[in-house]
Amino acid sequence: MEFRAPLISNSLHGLPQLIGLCGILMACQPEEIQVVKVPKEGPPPVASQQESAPASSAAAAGSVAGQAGPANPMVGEVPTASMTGLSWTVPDGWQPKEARAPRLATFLVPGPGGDADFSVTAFPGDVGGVVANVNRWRQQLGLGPASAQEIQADLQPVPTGLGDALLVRIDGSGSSTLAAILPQPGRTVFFRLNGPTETIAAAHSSVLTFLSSLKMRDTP
Amino acid sequence: MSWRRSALLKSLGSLRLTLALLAIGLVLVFIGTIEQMPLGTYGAQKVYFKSWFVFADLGGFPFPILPGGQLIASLLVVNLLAAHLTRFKLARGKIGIHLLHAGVLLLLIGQIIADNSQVESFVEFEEGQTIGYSVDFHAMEFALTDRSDPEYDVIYQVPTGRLLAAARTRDRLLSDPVLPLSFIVHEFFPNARLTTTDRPDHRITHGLGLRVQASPIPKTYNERLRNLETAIVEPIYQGKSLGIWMVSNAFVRQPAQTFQAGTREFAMEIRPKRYYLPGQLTLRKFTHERYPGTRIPKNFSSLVQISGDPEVSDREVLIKMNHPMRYRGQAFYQAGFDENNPRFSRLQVVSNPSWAMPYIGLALITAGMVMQFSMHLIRYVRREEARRQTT
Repeated sequence: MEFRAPLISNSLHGLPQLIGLCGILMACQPEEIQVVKVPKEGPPPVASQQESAPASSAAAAGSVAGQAGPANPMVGEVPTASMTGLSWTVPDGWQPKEARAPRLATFLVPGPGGDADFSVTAFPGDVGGVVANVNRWRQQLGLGPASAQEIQADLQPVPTGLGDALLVRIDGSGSSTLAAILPQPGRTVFFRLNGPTETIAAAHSSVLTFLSSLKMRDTP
Repeated sequence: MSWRRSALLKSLGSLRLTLALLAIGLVLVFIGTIEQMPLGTYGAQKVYFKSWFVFADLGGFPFPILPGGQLIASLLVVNLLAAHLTRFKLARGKIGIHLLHAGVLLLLIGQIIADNSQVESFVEFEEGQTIGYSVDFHAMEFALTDRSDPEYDVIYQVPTGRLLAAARTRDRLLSDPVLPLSFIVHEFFPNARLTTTDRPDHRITHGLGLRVQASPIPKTYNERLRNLETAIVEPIYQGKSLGIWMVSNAFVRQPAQTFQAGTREFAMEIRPKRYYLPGQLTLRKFTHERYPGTRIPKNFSSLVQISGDPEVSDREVLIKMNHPMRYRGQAFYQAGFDENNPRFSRLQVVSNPSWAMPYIGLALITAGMVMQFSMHLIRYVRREEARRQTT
């Protein structure tokens, strides 16, 4: 009985084998190293630090910016602290928004100066300390760094359902930040309200209300 | 000509091959579409459609198991050309067919060129800032920077695939004639979970990794997440170890880690891949308008100055939605902004040298179809006319 070779190999006289060999060889090609000579560069853009991890050697950054246009760049998966059921009471008027990593929660806070943005994030360890993080927020508002003494003087301890947090308000030109730093065992939680100065001033008490409502989810 | 009758050319131009390639293409499209679930759109495109082969990992060795989209398209091009050389005759009555096939060839060739050369990246800057590169967030690089010169940096951009390849060899050595020093790659994780710990990796002797533990985790293809590519590397200069360090794109917001090698100062980091531009771009002004009373973006535009390019004169260009800037063969589109920073702008940079080919190809296909159908129609009408006259 005459055996007729399969459709492709009958037609191509060894071409599949050649293609297979090419495939194996292509898999072995090393990727090229590029070498460029460029003028020394300045500091990186500030905006992509808005969502970044605080000053820490361990945490990674995810850049999340609103945009209209082609697909977002990939957003980072960051090693945030494992939040085992933190709960809070949302003040009246605050609108929950989609929280993208590294945020655990996001709220839109309306106010007389325009909308402000409230975020909850958490990272392992002390994430660089209070002074480093406050200075990072100052930089984002276009302010220079403050000394440790100046920052310590501005910090206000506020009670929360999970112990005292350190509250600080930073006023830039038209924009302000009201932030609370809550140390926890093995992690630090950040609560930050960012927006027009008038709105920050008006929302001060509702932020304190939010902080005082913090508790672990299985706590009555 | 005798070569037209060669068996190989006849095989390459056979209709059976066309059908076989289309059938394999169908299977590839089906599998690639299903695989979009775990891999994401970008991952599935890269693995199935923009590749020459689909590889499977067999005992740590990549083995081709399926032809990729590029190979199928390339063989279709060869098949069509060979068919024209062996079977199709150049005749007046077939001009439409030739035009149509020429259009199909242009579409296929244009797509092959685009898959191999199209690059998409982003430029992010705020008002007053000057930047000389765009960034590809889908790819990482191990960047070694020689900072010895007071005015210039020399940057060695090493694909992280080279770190992975080095970590898999017996001596774990990464070296290349272009690199000023070599590295021992003790570990490379395509994705890792990093945590601060009191019991870090005891091998690490310097830098950011001293208080960090890196545990490998499966690579993610979720487009909303990013893999934390992490390596433990040991720079070797003139036979001497310069310590063992951890590098990771998790540290991308920290300054790059630096070390001395002889009289030279180096920095190293894993970061999103950069494409350096011939000149520099400065964001002069970013304008962002919303529809009154809403948060819906109406218009946003970036006034960008090009400078420092020896072949392009300095100029200012306004980039706005649907009005990209074309510079050195690349198109810069206004792509994004930052809700929290009104001075920040993001541009998407697309370079595609074959951008015109699909338009020309479609025009040829249309012209070919119109011509061929018209000729058939005219022949039919004439035949009917003649038949009517004779009856």
